[in-house]
Amino acid sequence: MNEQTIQMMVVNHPATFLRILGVYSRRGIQIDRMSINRADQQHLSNVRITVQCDSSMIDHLSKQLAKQVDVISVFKCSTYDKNNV
Amino acid sequence: MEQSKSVANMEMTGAKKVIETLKQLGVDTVFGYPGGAILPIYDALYQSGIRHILTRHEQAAIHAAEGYAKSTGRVGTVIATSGPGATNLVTGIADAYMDSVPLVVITGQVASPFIGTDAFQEVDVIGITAPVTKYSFQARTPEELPSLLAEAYQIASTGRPGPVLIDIPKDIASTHCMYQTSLPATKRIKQAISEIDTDQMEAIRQTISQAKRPLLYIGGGIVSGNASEELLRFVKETGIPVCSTLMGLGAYPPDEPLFLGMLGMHGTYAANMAVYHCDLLLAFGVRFDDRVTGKLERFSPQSTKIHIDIDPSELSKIVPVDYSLVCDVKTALQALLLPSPTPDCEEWRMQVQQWAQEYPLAYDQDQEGALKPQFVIDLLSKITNGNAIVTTEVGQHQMWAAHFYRAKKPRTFLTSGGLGTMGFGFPAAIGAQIAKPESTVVCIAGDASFQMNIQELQTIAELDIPVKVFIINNRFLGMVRQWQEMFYENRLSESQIGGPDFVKVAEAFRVKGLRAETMADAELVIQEALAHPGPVVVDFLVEESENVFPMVPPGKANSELIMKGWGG
Repeated sequence: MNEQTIQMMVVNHPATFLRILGVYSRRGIQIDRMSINRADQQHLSNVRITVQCDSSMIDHLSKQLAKQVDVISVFKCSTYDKNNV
Repeated sequence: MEQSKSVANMEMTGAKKVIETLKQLGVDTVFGYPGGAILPIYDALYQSGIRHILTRHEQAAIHAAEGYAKSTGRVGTVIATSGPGATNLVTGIADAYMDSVPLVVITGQVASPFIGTDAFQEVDVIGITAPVTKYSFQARTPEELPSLLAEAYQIASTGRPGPVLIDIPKDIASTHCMYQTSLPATKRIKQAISEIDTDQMEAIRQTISQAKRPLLYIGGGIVSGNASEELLRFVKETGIPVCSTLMGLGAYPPDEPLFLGMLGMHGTYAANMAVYHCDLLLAFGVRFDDRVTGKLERFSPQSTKIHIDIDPSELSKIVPVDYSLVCDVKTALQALLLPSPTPDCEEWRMQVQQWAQEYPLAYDQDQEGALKPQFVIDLLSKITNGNAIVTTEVGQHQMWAAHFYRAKKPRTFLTSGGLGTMGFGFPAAIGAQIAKPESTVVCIAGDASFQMNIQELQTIAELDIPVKVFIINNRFLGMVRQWQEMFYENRLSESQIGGPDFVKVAEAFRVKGLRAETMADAELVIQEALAHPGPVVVDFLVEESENVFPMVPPGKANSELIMKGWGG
């Protein structure tokens, strides 16, 4: 179990996070930190979600998130990587 | 700018525009049930030229839309009202999501100012259905209705198909608005990637060429991807044996010599032994469901695995694979055929065919004894020559149908695989018959499953939909009882289930009712039912203690299947 962060660009509308958070809750993953920032373009938002899970789970979650109609891009970035930058 | 000049504008209500857009999208048939919040849409539907099939329960409407979609490959459309109308659809939406059935579900909603206030017949249908829809929309303005509909149909039918829901508040449907007459262009659609990595393809071709014991494990992706012809050519050219999931039945001709039948929990001996012993597993359009794999750690332990699927999230989800392609199976097979790899696997072919001959699917039908359920389905298969469209409910009869109804073509074996929904088969048969009026459509039902949507007898009677319902009546929830006998020390808790006199029930709905209790009866009655131009219900009173074998018990490997009756 490691701290794992996924960064996404999403189309933000009232039901977007119902679906995105559903990907986590269905797998029983608790969210530790989350931030949503509106991007320059209208309706688009940058999202960062940090959770504790193993690497195979984060692969699965990122594929499930990438599949969502409202998700434009997905990047996996572990906290460890971020500290090394 | 040029374009907008030529586009005419017209004022109409949102509801009217919904119906106009459906027509522009080529929708000619919808299934549904009216109610308060959806009244404006039903008013616009009146004399619109779109055929509406009125069921007697919203669940039946959506399963009928699934039957329509599964039998044709087109998007099924269903309409229901807010609140209970919408919640009655949820089982069907989940069923379509699990089996990747393209549906557009239109629900009425209370007027915008009342949303979120616990108004009469209000539910948060977007919230309730989010986990089981591919996507959903709630209309916020009347202007956006045409583009939402166009996007909904595109999302439902592209990539991995699935259900899409549009929730339309009553005031949005009632408001007058200026609309362009042309169909709007769609946006925000994710297209599946069908570009094949040539290096990966070459590696796959090499791996297949070198295999000594290759096996094709095919599923619903072959059916929904219309890849049957390519598959048949691939098998003919490579000589690789084929086994299928429940959802893949019909995708490959069952009488071809290299077809081993269904694999998994109630799969054939040959298919399960082959998947356990193969050295290369070609998993095409499948998702490694638990009913297929048995104990995961011991699933196909010696094989290199190649997985081709249109949905990237399925790759290595359950079983880690060695090679994978995100691609529709048709495109992948076309590429693989240029030229086909030719593995040297003659010995293996002889081995799997020996397994198939030694342990075929079998049953004992005593001439004088009680009617065996397998015999009824076997007889139906022989009489129709596997050319009917068959739907099933869920349980023992479903597995016997998978074993003994030898569906010759794709989209002719319609069953609820992922969700396992009792009550699916009868309305799905209605939808399939509406889509294919010239086809013989038979619902193979259990006595308990049939009672879950028995009210639809009124629908087939009123519209004279010539569906034939064959009830395999064993007076039990047979699969529940089988598990109780095998794994719960024979404590038959609530699995003995009564039913009405099905012949009299059918007759009360003005539907022809027949009954068979012996072998001789069965043949006559099947002939009579199939010859009758209208709907028929046949009550086959079968041996009540019969169980489904082979069986891979839960937690066991595919090679540890039980062949004979339990305890006998």
